[in-house]
Amino acid sequence: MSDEISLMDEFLGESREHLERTENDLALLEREGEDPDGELVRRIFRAVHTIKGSSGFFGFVKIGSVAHAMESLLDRLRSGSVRPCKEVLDILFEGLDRLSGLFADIENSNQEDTKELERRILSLVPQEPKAERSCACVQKSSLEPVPQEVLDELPCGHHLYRLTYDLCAMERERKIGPMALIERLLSFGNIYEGSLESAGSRNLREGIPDAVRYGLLYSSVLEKFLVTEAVMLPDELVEEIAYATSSPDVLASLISLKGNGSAPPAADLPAVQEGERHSEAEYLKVRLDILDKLMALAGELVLVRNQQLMIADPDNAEARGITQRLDIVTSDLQETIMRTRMQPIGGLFARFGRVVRDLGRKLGKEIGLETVGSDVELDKNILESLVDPLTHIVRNSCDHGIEEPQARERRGKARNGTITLRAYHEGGQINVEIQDDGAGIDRGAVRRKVLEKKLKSEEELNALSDPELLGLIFLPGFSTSEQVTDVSGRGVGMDVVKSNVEELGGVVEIQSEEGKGTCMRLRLPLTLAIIPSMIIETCGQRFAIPQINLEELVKLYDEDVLHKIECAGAREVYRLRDTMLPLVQLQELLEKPDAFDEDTRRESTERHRKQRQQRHAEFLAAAQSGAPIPWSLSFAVLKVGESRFGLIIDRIVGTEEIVVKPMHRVLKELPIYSGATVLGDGHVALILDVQGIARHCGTQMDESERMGDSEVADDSAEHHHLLLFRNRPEEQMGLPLGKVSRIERIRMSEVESIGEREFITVQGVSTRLLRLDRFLEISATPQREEMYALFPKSSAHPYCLLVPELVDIGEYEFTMDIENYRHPGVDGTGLIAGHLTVIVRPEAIARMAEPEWQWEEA
Amino acid sequence: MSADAATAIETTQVVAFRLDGRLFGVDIRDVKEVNEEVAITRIHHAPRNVSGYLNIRGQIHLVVDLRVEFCFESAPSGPSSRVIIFKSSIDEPFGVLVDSVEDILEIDSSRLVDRRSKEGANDPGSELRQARKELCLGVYPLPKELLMLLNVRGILPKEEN
Repeated sequence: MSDEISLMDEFLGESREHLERTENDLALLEREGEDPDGELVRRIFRAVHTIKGSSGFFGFVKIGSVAHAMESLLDRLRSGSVRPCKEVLDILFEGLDRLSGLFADIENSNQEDTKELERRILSLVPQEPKAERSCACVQKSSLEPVPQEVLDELPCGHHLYRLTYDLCAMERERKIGPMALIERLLSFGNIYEGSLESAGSRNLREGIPDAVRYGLLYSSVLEKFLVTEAVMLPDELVEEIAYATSSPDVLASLISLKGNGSAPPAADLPAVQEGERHSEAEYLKVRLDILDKLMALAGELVLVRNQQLMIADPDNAEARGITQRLDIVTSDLQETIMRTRMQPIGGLFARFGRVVRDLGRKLGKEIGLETVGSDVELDKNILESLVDPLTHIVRNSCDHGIEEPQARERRGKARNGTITLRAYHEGGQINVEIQDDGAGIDRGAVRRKVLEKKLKSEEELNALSDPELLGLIFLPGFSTSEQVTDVSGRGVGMDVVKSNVEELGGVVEIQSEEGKGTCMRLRLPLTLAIIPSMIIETCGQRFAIPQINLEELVKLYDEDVLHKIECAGAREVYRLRDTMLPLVQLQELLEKPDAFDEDTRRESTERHRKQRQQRHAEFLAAAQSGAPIPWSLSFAVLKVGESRFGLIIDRIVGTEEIVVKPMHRVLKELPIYSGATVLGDGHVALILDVQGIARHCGTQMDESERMGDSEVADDSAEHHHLLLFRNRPEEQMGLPLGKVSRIERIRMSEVESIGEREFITVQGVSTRLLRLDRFLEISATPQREEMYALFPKSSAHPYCLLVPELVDIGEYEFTMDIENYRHPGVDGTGLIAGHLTVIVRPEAIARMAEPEWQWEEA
Repeated sequence: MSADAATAIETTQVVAFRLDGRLFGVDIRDVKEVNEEVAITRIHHAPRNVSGYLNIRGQIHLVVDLRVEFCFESAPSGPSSRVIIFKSSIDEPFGVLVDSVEDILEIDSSRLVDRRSKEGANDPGSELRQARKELCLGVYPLPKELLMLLNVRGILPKEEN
């Protein structure tokens, strides 16, 4: 019973594979045009043939008859009497769809009416003058001669077998009597000749003999590997002796064989490929749960190996040798078992031949699909999870990417667009690219759409670099399609693509050049179960960070710790090359289970700044006393999609291949972990979820924090005339020169105050003095006797800004970032001479200070 | 379910252990092993009653700190601390951290007093009542003291679906 079910499962699984492969092959065939590759046609033929044969075996007659009709047409295609024109291909695709449909509801497939389709398929099969016999037999080696009548009667497509049963054994072991056996055999084939002989004496008076041998000639459409199961015989008792094919060229060769008695040239022999069937025999179906178990055990073994490596006595040569061998064997075993789960991505790519073909047709575009790296292997689970994201991207490429043929010609491109699916290894991970040579992403359309959907404001958009602008297509609710088609453009999609890929521990990157095309790159881990990781330590506890999220490690020494970390509003940032990298302290993150908000960030930024200053003082004191204490700070640069952040850690322990265990169900909701692992010393370490941490700490919002790191951003950099000043040595600020009328040096002893308000009298006018630290989120302004007052231009009310230290006046080129530090009193921030600079809006500060004053609407 | 089983069967073997000096017990049929290894990895952001993760022969177990569960003062684990690991049929791998494991006792199920129905003066303490009700199956009077029998399935919150 269970055998039958598993046989059935096998049939369904195999048929599905055949259908998928055939679909792709048909798309290939279509591309090859009028002069198809013979092997391709034969492959399609064989697949349909196999489906026909095995469905007959299971009694799915409608599948069988549709497949039969298709086979007839394919046979003519194979012989060259029918050309693969559009009509033929369309009907073959239709037939394939019908088969898929029948398979989808296999239980009720026999109730379907397929007559009409079969008629249409067969109508394309030209009637050829009836040969005496439309098929020919290919006889294979056989020890015993086969009667010619049997060969003559062998139906087309049938294999002839010689089966040898021991009826006693059948009765004994399988509880199948001779009649039941014959009934079973007749249910999927024909019996020609049978002969019965009992072992030993023919005299039955001596009792039932030990064995009764029943030899018979039997024909069936089933191929040998299937027939052995169907007839319940081991492989060695089934002998294939002939195969009737309907191929005319074989017929011809056989006729000539009959005619002049000479052997046909070997090359003309039909492709009854032993070799191909042989390749199928090299595969063994293994249940997934057994593989999973094996994988888990290999994981355990890795742990044991790691522990053994740790305790191995380096002085004991013998023990060391054994440990080394354990190490090598374990690694090999782990890798081999991992490979059992790996499948070539080609199977996934193959699906898209059809998708692209259909979409192209529907959209009136000419689109071809190319695949590169189909043999690159990926973990089965990852492959399965890739179906949706890839489908989405490919659909988008067809719909939005590739232009219509006329438009392409106008642009001087080939009429037919090409989508390339490419897979390749890079640095221990797999990259999957979906590239099209279409129109590229229209930045203007992206901007319009974002504004229209109110996803971002105009100002926010202006502050974005090009990659960030492209990254906006991943926002939920975004769709650039000017009109909604039924292909794509429903506004759900790219955000789902992104989250799907991120769930796999991967990232999505976009490159797009307007007019030239778009390339989406998915970077994926090889497998989900064992991942290379960096082990770090903080708070005396070790954590694992998946290598795929790790960009680089930065270590700052001595005074750099103080100077290289800047404060941007509520945030600590580090200038990594030309990018502003927000920093997060892992220790702080661990201590705060609630998601960070602006206040949390501001409070910790201020605290860290103070700590650093105190530490700096200690450092200086120690250096002066001649006993310097080393001072350093390490952080890991982690990437989340297009953005990066730095995670400050205590210590880097090393790298390790870790076996990922999921979090316990009661802890699944903790965002900052993606799982746990057992380290070599047997301790459990938690695996940090970089995406989760970015969300928890709110680093992800600040994609615009990265500035000026791309050429495009440089292009959009503006020139600003500024007066630069400093509140504190590490807090540089600027004031647009156009807003300043004059600068006065003042003495703080001359300042008078009324309540909270401070005034200074300059040129006989009592002027309100505004301290920036009261209105902006900056550090307290240091107290000095001599300070500067900046007087604004064209103000109806007398006020000035108090600043402790002037830096310079000049023209600076930078991109104003408005996202970084949002405050009514601030225009934005910019990177000037390597320092983050806050550009102050004096009139807004005055308005905050004196809301009662009469203010013209700005 | 386990409550029914406990009352239906005449005698039950329980693993007795102590928390803050008081005696508790769990049905021995739920217990997989008692482990001396208490090198527990702390899980920041986890609920307070989660002590952390413990590796036992390659399998990661969640460890619940029963002291916190019963609102006792938390105390560092000492040489007598043990982790009682429960059978895998109960939930994903987990166990409880206790101050010490005493003995295996045979108790007569019919003498088990359902704490919820009878809140007498002999109750081991009012703070226990604040612990989740489903955690306690009842109180069993031993010659010298009372033992609180715990429902192992009530330790972790129920699965959502």
